[in-house]
Amino acid sequence: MTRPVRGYLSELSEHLHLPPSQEGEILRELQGHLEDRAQELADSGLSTDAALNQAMREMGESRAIASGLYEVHSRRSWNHAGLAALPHVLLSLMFALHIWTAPIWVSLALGVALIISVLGWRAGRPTWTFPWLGYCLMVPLISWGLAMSAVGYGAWGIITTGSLPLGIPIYLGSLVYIGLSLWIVIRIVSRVARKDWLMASLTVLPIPFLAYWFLYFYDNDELFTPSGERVGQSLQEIDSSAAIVFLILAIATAVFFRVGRRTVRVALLAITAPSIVVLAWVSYQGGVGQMAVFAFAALSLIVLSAPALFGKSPADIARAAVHGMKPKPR
Amino acid sequence: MYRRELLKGNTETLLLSLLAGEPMYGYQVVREIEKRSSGYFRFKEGTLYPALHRLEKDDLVEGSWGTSPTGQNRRYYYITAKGLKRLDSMLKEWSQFTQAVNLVARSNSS
Repeated sequence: MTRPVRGYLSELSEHLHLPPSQEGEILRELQGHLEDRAQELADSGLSTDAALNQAMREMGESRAIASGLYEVHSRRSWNHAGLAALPHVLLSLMFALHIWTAPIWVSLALGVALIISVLGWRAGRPTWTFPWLGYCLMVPLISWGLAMSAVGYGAWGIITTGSLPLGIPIYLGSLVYIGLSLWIVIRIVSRVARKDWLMASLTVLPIPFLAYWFLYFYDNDELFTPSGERVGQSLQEIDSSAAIVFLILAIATAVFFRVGRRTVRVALLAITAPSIVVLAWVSYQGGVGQMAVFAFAALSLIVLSAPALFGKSPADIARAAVHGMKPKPR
Repeated sequence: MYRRELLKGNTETLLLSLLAGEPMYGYQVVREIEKRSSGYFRFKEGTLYPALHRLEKDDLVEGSWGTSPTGQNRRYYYITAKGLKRLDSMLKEWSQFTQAVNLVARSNSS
């Protein structure tokens, strides 16, 4: 493969965002086309370089081709979209039926999410399992939040009283746990982002709302004993708002998988995440202030775009293209 | 421009018609369409592969690697039974369409 062709295909690969093996095959197919056209032009009298350049010009802009191919290969069936939206629907039901406080239902839901995520991971990570994986990641993230608050409480104790309010082993354990849980989450998200950072963004889509919801209860000292009767807003009203939010997430996820266009997918996620944070703020009385919710909404966009930093390694693509498949007799 | 729109709207029919005759790889498809249409249709090569892959995703064609006459590895596309059925209905529709257009055009000119 000559350098100009390698450059052209490399640029195309950057915008394909498909699994490495699938990308490798597509690149081999296009490379073959360029070679054939360049050969025909060279036979008609053009120099090798001129023939290659013309072949690439005739092929068209690599980004446009990548966009067309991505649209074809990433658009999923209704079944696929439904399976991907299902965890959000289940969570919406749990809030609508006010059973999210019952440990048995939470354990069951988490167990199902974990089984589907593990089986999906081992079976080649079909994209509909990523929303399920997102909920599995909530567990280390929420407990990470608790561990952080324990460390913060200890730091505050040192500053104000000069002594630790809790034992040293708890703080050491919290620090180790924070590091470990963060490492696990980053590792998993980066593996997903290697395939397509947009899928990783979809995986972490519920995080901004769940973080806000967690902060709301934590702020109101009701994390472990949510009361049925409260001043102002009842738990049922809060749960109904949460049910609607998860239903919105379900619809957004289903639409995500049904549209093929990448720009539409990006826009969908960029609108959904901050919108549900704002919706939660509007629905939950006595929550954080206006400035905080805007900060939260902005943070949600950062959370969604962070997986882009873990993008795919070009080595994966090149490896798949070089190995390729041998022709099978038909 | 009008020709481009016509090509865009009939890409599937053209590709399936070609592949109904014999399996072909991408570059071969471009050349054959241009040759058989006496240069009337010039497929923009970058749009060909999304179109072929779309047909494959819809199970109208099936792709697999083979060896070209020049000994190179190329991805050949074969029309499926579903593709043949779709082609048949599209050609019937096209025939009715052109007949109707001709009738309207002829009645205006007379």
